[in-house]
Amino acid sequence: MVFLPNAGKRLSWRRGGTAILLFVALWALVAHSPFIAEGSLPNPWETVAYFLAEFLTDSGYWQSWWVSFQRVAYGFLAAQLLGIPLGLLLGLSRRANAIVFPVFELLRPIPPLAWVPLSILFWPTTESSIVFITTVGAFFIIVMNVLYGIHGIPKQYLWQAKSLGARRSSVFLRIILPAILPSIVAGMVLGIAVTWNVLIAAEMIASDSGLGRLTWEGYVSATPAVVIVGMASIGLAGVISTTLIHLFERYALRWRSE
Amino acid sequence: MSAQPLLSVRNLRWAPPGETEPVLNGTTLDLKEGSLSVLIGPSGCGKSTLGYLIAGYYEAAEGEVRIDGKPVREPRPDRLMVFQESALWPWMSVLDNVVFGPLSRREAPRREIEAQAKALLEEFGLSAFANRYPHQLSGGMKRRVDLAQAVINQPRLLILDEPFRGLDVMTRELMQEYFLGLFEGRGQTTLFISSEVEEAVFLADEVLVMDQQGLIAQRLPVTLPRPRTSAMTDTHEFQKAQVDLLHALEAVQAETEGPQSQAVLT
Repeated sequence: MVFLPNAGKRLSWRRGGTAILLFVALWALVAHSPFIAEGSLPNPWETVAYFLAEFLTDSGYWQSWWVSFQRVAYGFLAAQLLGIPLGLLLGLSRRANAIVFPVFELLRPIPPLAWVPLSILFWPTTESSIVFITTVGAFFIIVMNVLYGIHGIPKQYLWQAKSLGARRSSVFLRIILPAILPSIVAGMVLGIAVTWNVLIAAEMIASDSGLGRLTWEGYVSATPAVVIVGMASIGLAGVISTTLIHLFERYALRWRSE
Repeated sequence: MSAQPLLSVRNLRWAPPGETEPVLNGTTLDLKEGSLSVLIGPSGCGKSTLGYLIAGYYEAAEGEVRIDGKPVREPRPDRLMVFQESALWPWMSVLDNVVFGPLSRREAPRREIEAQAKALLEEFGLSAFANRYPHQLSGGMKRRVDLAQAVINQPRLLILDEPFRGLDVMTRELMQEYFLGLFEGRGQTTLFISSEVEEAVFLADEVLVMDQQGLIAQRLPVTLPRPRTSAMTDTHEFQKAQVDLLHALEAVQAETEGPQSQAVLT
């Protein structure tokens, strides 16, 4: 898809930039406010200076990025690989739905972090238990999205395909799968945010590496600048992941009107 | 033309799942090969339901539908329906939508089917849009692609369920003329469901008036000559056919709602 610069997009960038500047100004104000204890919240310039001095060339910091991204990628992919087929099964087979859905509904309300103790006991390594917890975070979302996506397919799409003589495999591959693609992508957008939320919490609780751990260590060592750098890094990592999903969305759903 | 009707519907009964009140309560109907019949009736009388049963999307509780003497049990390419809302698959290009049927049935090599589809799109004035997605087309264009998607399969019976509803007046008139050209050129047996009196008279060889029970209460032949043009709508003959149909609809309405409604209609 070709992106042509237009007034709307320029305005959007200008507004986004202004909002970030205002946020930084507010941060500086709060950092210097009398209600905040001296030294507990570094201002933006101190944080940037700290980042440049301590982290920019520190391989350990970039290693934290790499580790967290890897965990998110594994957890997120596993959630898609398990969740999409299960959602299809629940949506397309009444029998499977009758058997599996009650159990699924029982497990769905359990917050992903409640799985931490069990997964530490169950999985052989910390790494696998963290990936498992991040998988759980996105898994239920993607299953529900696929399920609702199937229920939302206009019946005329399926009727038409059958009328025209399509085989079952062709109806599945050429009609059902593309029809639920918008729901899958919506599940991905929601799922990636939850994956990061769960990962960071899991890293703080159960890991000795990653951006979550970096942030937690900043707290333990009473170094607010590290906490802020850690939080900003997590925010940026989330934005990068979401942007990648949106790029995929733009490609996979190029047939959809803007 | 054979004596056996192309479509034969006998004593058809159908109620929505879980409901006892039938939408169709003994519908009987025959259509001759090469005819264009317009089905018209009050809103909610079961016109679309009858279309779905003929197409094989619904299963009748009682009665039967036969096409060329063979019972209808499931959807098949010999009876295709064009729905009220365009059912083009939005992720496929115009060309892919049109070739879907013949390709699915593996009737010929892809290249041959595509050439046939391109010729059809040319005939439908859509050749420049073959690679566009449905959302890039206007409402009238989408309806033409819907028609092309059906016509390429050479169905024995084409069922059109208020296909021009929702289009603006000018586009609707253009589409009606366009469809007539298609029908008159190919002699395609068609059951056209409509809720517009003028449209029914303009298109039909015969208008079938359905009552609230889903029964064909009246069959009104339209004797206007073919080919028809929009200029005909000003003729005395056309106006008279329109008035006759209006009276038939009023009679159906009055029968359903009793003497009070008759006063309102007059």
